[in-house]
Amino acid sequence: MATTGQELGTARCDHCGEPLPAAAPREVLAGEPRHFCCSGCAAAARLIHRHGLADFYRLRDRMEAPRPGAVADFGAWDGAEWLEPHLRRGEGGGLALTLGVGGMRCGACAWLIRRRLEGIPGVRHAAVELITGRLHLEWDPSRVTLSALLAALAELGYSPVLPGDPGAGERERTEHRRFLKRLAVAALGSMQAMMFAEALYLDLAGAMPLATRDAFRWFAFLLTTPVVFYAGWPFLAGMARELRQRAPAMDTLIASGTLAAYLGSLIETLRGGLHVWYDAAAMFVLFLLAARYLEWRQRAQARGLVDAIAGAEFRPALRYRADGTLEAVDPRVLVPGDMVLVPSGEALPADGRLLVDAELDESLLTGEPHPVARRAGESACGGSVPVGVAVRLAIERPSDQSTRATLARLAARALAARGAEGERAERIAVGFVSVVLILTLIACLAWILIEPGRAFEVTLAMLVVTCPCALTLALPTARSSVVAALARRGVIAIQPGSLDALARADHLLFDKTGTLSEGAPKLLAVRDLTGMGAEALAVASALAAGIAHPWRDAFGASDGRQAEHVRYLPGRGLEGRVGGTRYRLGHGDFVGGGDVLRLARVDGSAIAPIAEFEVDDPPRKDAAEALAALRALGLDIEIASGDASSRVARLARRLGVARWHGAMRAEDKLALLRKRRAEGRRVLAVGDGANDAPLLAAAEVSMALAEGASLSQRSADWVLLGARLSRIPEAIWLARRYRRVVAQNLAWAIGYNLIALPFAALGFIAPWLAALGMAASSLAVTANSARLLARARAGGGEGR
Amino acid sequence: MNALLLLIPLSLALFSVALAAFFWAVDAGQFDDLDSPAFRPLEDEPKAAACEPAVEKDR
Repeated sequence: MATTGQELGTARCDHCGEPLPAAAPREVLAGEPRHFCCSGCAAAARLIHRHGLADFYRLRDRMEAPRPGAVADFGAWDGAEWLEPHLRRGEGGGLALTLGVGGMRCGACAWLIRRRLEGIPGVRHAAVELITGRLHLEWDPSRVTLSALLAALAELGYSPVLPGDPGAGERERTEHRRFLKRLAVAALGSMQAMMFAEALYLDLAGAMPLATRDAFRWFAFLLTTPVVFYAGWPFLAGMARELRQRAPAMDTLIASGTLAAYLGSLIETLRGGLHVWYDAAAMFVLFLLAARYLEWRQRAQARGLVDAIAGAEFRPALRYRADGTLEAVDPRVLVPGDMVLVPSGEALPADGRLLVDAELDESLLTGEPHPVARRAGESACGGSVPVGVAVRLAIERPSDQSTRATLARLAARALAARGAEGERAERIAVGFVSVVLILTLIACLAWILIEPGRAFEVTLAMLVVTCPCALTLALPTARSSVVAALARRGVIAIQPGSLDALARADHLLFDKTGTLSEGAPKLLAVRDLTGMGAEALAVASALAAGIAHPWRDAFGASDGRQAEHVRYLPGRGLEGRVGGTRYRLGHGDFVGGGDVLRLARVDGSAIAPIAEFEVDDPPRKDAAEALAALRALGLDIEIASGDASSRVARLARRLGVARWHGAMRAEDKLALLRKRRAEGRRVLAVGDGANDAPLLAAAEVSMALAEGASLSQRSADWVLLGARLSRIPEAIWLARRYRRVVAQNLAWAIGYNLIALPFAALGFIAPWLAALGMAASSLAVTANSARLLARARAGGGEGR
Repeated sequence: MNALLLLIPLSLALFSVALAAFFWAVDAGQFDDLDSPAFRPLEDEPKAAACEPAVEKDR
């Protein structure tokens, strides 16, 4: 993989890979001349070499690095109020902070950040989590300030970002540690208890002296107690909660089975009875706790991944101080009247009034893929992105009242209204458990009347034989298997409970810009007006090379030509010199009339059009294929977009979609969802923009694209990585398979119990036979669930 | 039998020590990140830069 400008062949910055402008800074580093696109990249490279970290360029697996932008003063972070909730006491004095890091591309970046920060005196600990992009910092405030550390980070081109929820990282850490401790107790305790149980089991001839037997039993009791009450606490607490809510479910079943085995063994130990089942109680807790831990870890990783993808909520905003210098602050502290600088390519932190002419990409808010020109004095929305030139903004509304915040509130309301639906399978489990418990109670009472000596044994046999594992182990296993299989295909589960809804969906509501389409303009056609031919395209790419504008990607890399004196005039276009001649690239009178994108040559005051370019937002390469697969699965497709109706109609025609709507705002999309729901359809919504968030939150099941707005990802049930639309039909097919497996498991569980329960109730099944039956049944059911994990490459459908 | 009277409490004591050590390690944060260490062997450590590499500005 090319990792230097030279290897790539075209003129690119050695640090960040962007095209080089005419007067590119040059440095000799490590004996080789290097070229950079700006002084920021040059400074970063110099820094990297100076600290002996040049291996970064060798280690990285792609030709990209974040471009150091306007390095502002992070002084506002030292002792800031809004930082307080995030700070912790470090081990051994000092402070600790967990941050998100924006701009990390691969393992080499993590390595670079860690090495650079740990090299600063005063830093106790700097750990970068690869998968979630989190940085854990511990430092001694008396030797180095936080602002110095953040500046070091920014010099390399990475941006520190505060995670949205200060407590979340801490809570997750505490919970993880508690899980590990409980697992350790359960594992060690049950293995030790098994040791004693084995000795007791192997005493087939009953030759063990009673004193020894009792001693072993008491030791087993000693070891099992912490397992049941400390490691098994989540199940006991869960049972208490469920019984309070009068909805007995998995936890009740697990806890009652465990307690029955434990207390029964205690009674038998005191009575000097025939059998004890301490090992069963301990193993029960161990396996089910392990299953729960794995499930939890999966969900925590998915959350971390979403945070990393979203780049976290808050990027520091660059606010002007009274003396005109810039400081980096948390956008939440901005008040009306503050002036901020927003570099091109970064989102506006809040609603405000523009102080300069600008072109804004509002696609994440409205779905319009083409930038909108706005003049100085006009209002702009927080969340829109300036293209071409940086923008100065006077804040009008605090960020929590911005348009984006309103969308976030709409989404949150919709999410809350959806409520805890829960899966159908879980509801069946609840019914099942209630029935079993009632029957067991009846049988227990009956036996107490008939032959009290056997009452307990029968009760235990009934509770054990009913194979709670069919539900408590198999359902989570099935779910974890599918979630893992989907994660491997790049579909991340935010709400695994929505698997059921995903399987039952029969209507798809797609957003257009950024979802079905690339979201960025692409060059579709060139109309040559004067016979310049390929020259025209080369000139246009040279002009577009230096700016952060969608056109740069549309025109591609130039053939080495350099453009000089390039100016970007918002609303009009680019002007510059290429090879001595002045050219303009833009719309309208700027290029001699018309509203198509044109390249024109400027001679004094004469503007001569040379070529016209058709630039539009094409559908994604796999969109047609994905839609065909979805139709084959029996789903109806509908497009709801905020873009202009003419463009939506064009895309719909290309993809063969009959029902489409254009110019939709967030409220309109919600209304459409309600209409479809009233018709009895079960809707899967797919979108990427902040304006899709309310729709994604309200739909039965929804999917957001990882490349879209972070707000949409937080409102959806699933996140699609890499914008691979063909994974959507795969996900649905897998979800349906999941439903089938779960139905099979339930059928088996009920069938098996219908036979086993009566036998147990009548006293024909000894507890050991019950344990055997339970083990065999659990194995069968878990193996069935594990089928979902299999890499079904050609498994009867779209498995690819 | 006498041996067991000694050995079993001894093994329980060892078991408690092991558990206590594990608890200490968990609280010391040694198990907080179970994913990143897997990537460590893949990182090359650079050769120690004995002195600062020559940096020239070329303008």
